[in-house]
Amino acid sequence: MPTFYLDDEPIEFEEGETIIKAALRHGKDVPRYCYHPALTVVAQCRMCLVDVTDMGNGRPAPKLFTSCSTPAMPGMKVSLQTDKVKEGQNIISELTLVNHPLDCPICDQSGECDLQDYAFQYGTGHSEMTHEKRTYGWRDVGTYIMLERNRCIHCSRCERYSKEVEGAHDFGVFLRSHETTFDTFEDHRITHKFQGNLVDLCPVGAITEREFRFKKRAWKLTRTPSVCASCATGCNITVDHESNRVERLKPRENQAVNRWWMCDDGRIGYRQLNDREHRALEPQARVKGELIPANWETIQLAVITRLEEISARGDQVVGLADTTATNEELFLFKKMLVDCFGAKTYSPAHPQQAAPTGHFLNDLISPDKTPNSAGAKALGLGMDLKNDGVRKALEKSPKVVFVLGNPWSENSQLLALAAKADFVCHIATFSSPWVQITDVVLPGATFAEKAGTYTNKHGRVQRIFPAVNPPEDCRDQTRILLDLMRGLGISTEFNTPVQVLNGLGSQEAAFKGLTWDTVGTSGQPLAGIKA
Amino acid sequence: MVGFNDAVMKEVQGLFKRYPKKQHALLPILHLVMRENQGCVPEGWEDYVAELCETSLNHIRGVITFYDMIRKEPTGKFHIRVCTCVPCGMCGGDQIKNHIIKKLAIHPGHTTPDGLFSLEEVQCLAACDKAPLIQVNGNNPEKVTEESIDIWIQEMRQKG
Repeated sequence: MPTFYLDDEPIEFEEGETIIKAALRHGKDVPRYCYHPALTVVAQCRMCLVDVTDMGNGRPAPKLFTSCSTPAMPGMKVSLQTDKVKEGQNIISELTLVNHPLDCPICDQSGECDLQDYAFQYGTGHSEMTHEKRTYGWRDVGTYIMLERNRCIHCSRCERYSKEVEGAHDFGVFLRSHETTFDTFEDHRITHKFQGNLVDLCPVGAITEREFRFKKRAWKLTRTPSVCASCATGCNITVDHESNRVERLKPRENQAVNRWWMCDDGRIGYRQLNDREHRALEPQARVKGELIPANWETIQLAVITRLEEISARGDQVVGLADTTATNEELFLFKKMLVDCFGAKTYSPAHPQQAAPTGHFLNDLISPDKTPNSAGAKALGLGMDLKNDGVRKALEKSPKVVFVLGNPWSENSQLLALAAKADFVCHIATFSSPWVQITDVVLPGATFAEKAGTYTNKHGRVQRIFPAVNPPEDCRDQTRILLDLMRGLGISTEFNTPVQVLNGLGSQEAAFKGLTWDTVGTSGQPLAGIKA
Repeated sequence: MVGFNDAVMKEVQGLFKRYPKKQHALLPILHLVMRENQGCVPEGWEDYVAELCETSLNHIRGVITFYDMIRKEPTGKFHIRVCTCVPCGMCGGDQIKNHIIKKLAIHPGHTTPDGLFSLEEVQCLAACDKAPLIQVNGNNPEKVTEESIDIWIQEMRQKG
C-alpha cells in the first residue's frame, strides 16, 4: 500500500483516498466541520487545512491545502503542526466564530460541539470583529427538530444530508455571503422519520432535538453502547443516561448495520425506558382472584411448590416467549421447559420486510417491531405467522403456561385459551393483557437494564449492556430464569448472560463459534450467515 | 398562467441540449422566465422551473436569492440602477443614491407605490469615464447630477 507521512508518521492509504480519510482511519484527529464520510466533499469550512511540506515530488505546496479534498500521494509529507498551518487554523476559527452567538451556556450542543472543541483547541481566543453579529430567530422546522440559525456555521451538512442521504431535499441554502442561511423552504415542516440524524450531523447547536432541549448537559451523560430494540434492524446505539434515567438514544457507527444513522422511532424509544406507569414493578401473586405484591423469596418458593403440586409434563406445559427477549433468555427459557418438563416453547413470528427498497434509511425501519425474531428462529422456537402451532398447543388444555414477555398479547383468543390453565407464570417487563390472567408476575428488566445479545433481521448477533439499574424489585430475566431452574432442581453452570452466550456457542448449532468476546462491539453474524 | 408557451419551450429544449443535466440550464431558464414576466420570477414559477429542471424547490430558491439580478418582485416602469462602487463613489455616486432615495422616498430594492420607479444599487455599469452613473431599464448608462435627476423624474412623472 502507498504511504504518506502525517507529522512524520507513516500512514497507509488506498489510491485516490483523501488525506483526511486516511488520517481519520488511522485515528488521527483532523479538525473539520463540513467533512463527513457519508456526504460529498465540499471543502467549505476550511478547518481541515494541512501544510504539505512535500507533495511527493520533493517540492512543497505553495499554500495550505484542505485535507478533505486533497488526494494523498505516495511519499507526501503533511503536517498539522507547522506555524503556517497553525496560523491558518487560527484565522479560520476566528472567521467561523464571526457570527456565532457564543450562547454555549444555554446551548444543548455544548459539551459535544465541534465548534466549541476546535475553537478551544485551535482558536486564538480573541476576535477582531467589531461589527454587530447577524441574527435570525428560532425556526420550528420539523416534528423532531428545532433550528437556531444564529448558531449555524454554514457547513452545509444538513443540506447535503437531505439531498444525498435522505433524498427529501428539506434543507436549502438561501441568500449569499454573510446573509447566507440554511433553512427549509418557507414554512415547510419536515415530517419524515430521519430528522434526528440532522442533529447528529450538525457540528454546532443549530439543529437540536426537540425532546432533549434544555433537559441535560451533554457532558453529564454517561454513554453505554447498546442496540436499539424498537425493531428487528438492530441499529447500534448508545444509551445516554444520568442519575439512573435514560435521557436519549443516539446512533453508534456500525458500517455493517446502520452506518451512522438511526430513525426517530428508535430515538423516542427512550421514553419507554423511563416509563414506570406501564412497568411491572413488583413480584405479584394471585390470591383469591386478586394480584397482591409479594417478595421474591416467597414468590419463587410458591411458584416451585405449585409446579411440584401440579407436576405437569410434556404437552401439559407450554412456553410462550416474546421476541423482545435476548438470545440468552430465550435459550434459558427453552432449556428450562425442555429440561424440567420436556415441553415446547413457542414464539410469535413477525412479518419481515419483503425486499430492500434501495433507500438505505427506509430499509432501516423494519415492519417487525421486536428486536430478536431472528434469534428466536435460530434457537428453533416454534414460530408460525398464523399461530397454528401455538393454538394447537393451547387447545390441548395445558396445565401450566409460562410466559416470557408479552407474546400474542393482542390475540384475545389465545389469551382465553391460556387462561384455562391451572397455573400461568408470567415474566413481565411491561404490563399487558397477560396480567389479567396470570397467577404470578415476575418483573423483569428492559434492554437498557441488562446484558445480553440480540440477533437482528440479517442474523447478526449484537451485544447490549446494562446502562441503568432496573427499578428496585425488578430483576434481570436471566437471573429469574436461572433461579427458577435451580429451584426446579436443574443444576446449571451459568450465572451471567455472558456465560450463557458462551455456552450457547457450544450448545446451539446456529450460534456455533460465537462468544461474548468475538461478538465484540460491532457484532458477529450467526454461523452460516455471511457478514 | 404559469408555464412557457410553445415558442419559449422550443428555446428551453435548445438550452437543455447544451448541458449534460437539465439542472445545469437553470440560469438561462430563469432569464427566460424574467424575460416573459416583466423582469421577475413571479409566484408559482419557482415550482414550474423546479419541475422543468428536475431539481428541488430549495435549489431554485437558493439560486434566485443568491443572484441580485434575479428578482422575485416586478420592477417599476422605470428601473433605476445607481452605481456606488469606487470610481462612481469618488465622483459622488453615494450622494446621487441618497438624493434619489430622498426624492422617490424608496430604498434600494423597492418600488414606488405608483409603480413608476424602482431603485437598485449596483456595482459598476462599465462606463466609469462618465461617473457618476445611473442606468434606466437597461439603456446606456448616463452621467447624472442631482439637478438632472430632478428634471428627469419630474418629466417621467408627468408622462406617467
